[in-house]
Amino acid sequence: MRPDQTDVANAPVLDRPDSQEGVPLLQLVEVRKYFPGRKTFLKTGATGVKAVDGVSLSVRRGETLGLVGESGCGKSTLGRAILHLEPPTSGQVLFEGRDLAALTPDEMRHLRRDMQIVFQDPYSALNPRKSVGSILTEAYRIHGLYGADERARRVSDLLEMVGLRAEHVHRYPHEFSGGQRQRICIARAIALDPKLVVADEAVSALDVSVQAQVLNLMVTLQKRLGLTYVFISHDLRVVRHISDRVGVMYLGRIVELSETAALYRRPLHPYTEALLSAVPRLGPRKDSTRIVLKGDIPSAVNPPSGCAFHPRCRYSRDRCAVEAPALREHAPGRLAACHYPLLDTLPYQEPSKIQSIGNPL
Amino acid sequence: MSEEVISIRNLHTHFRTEDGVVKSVRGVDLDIGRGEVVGLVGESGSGKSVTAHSIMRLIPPSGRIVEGQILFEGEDLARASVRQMQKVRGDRIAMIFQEPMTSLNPVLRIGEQVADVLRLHRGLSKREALAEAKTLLGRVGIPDPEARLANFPHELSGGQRQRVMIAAALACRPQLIIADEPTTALDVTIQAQILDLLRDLKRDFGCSVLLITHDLGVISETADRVAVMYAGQIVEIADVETLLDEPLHPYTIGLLRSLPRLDGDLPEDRLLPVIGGVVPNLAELPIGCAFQTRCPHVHARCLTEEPPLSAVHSSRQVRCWLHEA
Repeated sequence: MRPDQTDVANAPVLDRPDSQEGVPLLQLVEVRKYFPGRKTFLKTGATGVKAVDGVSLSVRRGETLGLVGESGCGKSTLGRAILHLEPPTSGQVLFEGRDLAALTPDEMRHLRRDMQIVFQDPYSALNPRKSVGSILTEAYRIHGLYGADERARRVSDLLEMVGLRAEHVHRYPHEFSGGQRQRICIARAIALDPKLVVADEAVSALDVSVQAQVLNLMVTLQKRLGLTYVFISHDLRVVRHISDRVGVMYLGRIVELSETAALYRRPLHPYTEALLSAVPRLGPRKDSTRIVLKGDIPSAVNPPSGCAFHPRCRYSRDRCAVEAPALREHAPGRLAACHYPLLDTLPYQEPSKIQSIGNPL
Repeated sequence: MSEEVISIRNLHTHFRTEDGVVKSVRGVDLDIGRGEVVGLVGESGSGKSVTAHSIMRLIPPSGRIVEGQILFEGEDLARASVRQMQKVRGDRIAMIFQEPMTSLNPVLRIGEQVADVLRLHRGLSKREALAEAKTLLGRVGIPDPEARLANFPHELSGGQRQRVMIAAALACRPQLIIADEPTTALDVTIQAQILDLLRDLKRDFGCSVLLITHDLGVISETADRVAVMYAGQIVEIADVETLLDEPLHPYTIGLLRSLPRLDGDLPEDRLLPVIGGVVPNLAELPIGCAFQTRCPHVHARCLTEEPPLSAVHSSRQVRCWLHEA
């Protein structure tokens, strides 16, 4: 990575974030998260899982960065590593230029007010025995903020902001629908006026019409409160709708990172191309050429050599099996980790070879 | 479609709950032709799964079919005995569920589970059944089927497990396959594989499919006709292309508009047009149209009279006073 980044991390901690306008809100430097393998009978020292394997990216203030990928690609682990809910095995997470790993527990607790998370399942994310009011004031109690009157006023403001009514404050989670519960989770996330919200599949469990309502709420709140989102989802349609930039993950790595419109118009990485092509379309396909990837997603315990996507890639060549491609800029603002990115000049290659690659299903 | 495999007539399924009687299915009429794939789309609580479970008579004890007929091969399944249903299930009608891990027995080998269906319904010997199971696993695209026969469900990936479920469903060459959210739990690239498989099987085996899903994209790519359900009723039925090009019911229109798209222009303000409000409580439905509380075109008649599902033209029906025949 760029050499100056270490210096940023070691720079004296600044109390006033306003003085750091040039610094991205969030920076990840070669973040890795490995989970150790379990020792089982006859199998000692089993290999671990490289859930996140060297992710570097930065998130600007006020933008929405979408992270997409299929199950097991490491997107949720990355989300948790960003918040240091599970600190990374190696690499740095810089929030407003401060390395989270270098903070004292006290500083970290203080910083937690600035970074929040919304989970997928609003049923398990809310304590069923606490009223909405109690759930929403919990953060104020933990951080010792405001008196009782001010807390009550803020809670009713929060409820209004997420489209619930002030009288809902005395109700319990089971009295709400899934969509309303997710609104409560969002209210809780914004209670401390955070700068960053990580949304981990935040609308995935919701019905279509409710999903649209909650997406609109998130967009509105972002404008109103100047929030920055890291929006993690498997749903490429939702991610396109909400994100300014999108990172595509495959087996623990970012394989493509681009501005949203460009990525969806002409993906650079063959995996992104296949992923987009696999999404069911409404109405007839214009191109009628759906790319159906052969075989399953390989295991992160034992990823393929070279480029992890090469066994399923229809453009794979010899080099792909031996050399892992780095995430590089191939066009302005368009990064891909591919030796042969799908730039417009690239002709379709080697059809004879395509038959023989990958799992025979 | 001239020849119907199954005809559902005025089906009502109710559940007894603490909050009173929940009318989950309220007068569903649906025909599925031979070799036809009919999509049943709707949000949670719309009654799409209860309709499917009513056909299989798999509704939990608190639920009951209170009215209507399910005509299949000259029998009314709504009134069939337990013994008759056992002959129908898995043999004439097969079902594929959303989560293959919970539908497969975790302590039985894959081969045994598929072979059991064949032994039970087709009276094959154990060896014949295993040989047939191997052929079926190969047919649904499982690599090295011989070796997979000895695997347990947990040794397979989600996509492979769903293939095993499909193999078991196909074992007796059923007339009708009911697929309840068959790809919802799968990743998008695996979903594409399974949808391709379902299409191939419909072509090769000629069976009819009732495909239940909340995803209009899946319907668009797989089904011939689609029925949209809302609050226990079908509110619109049409050919898939017609429905997507020109939806008529305000609910269908709202649903299609509220979907984020993979192509086309994004709204400048990033806001999606939404259907306001929430689904009505099925235990306390309003008089008149069930969609009245959320409908942008609601008028006096909607509040007093329930619109019938009426034919706009030959293959197209809609339940709305705006489109009265």
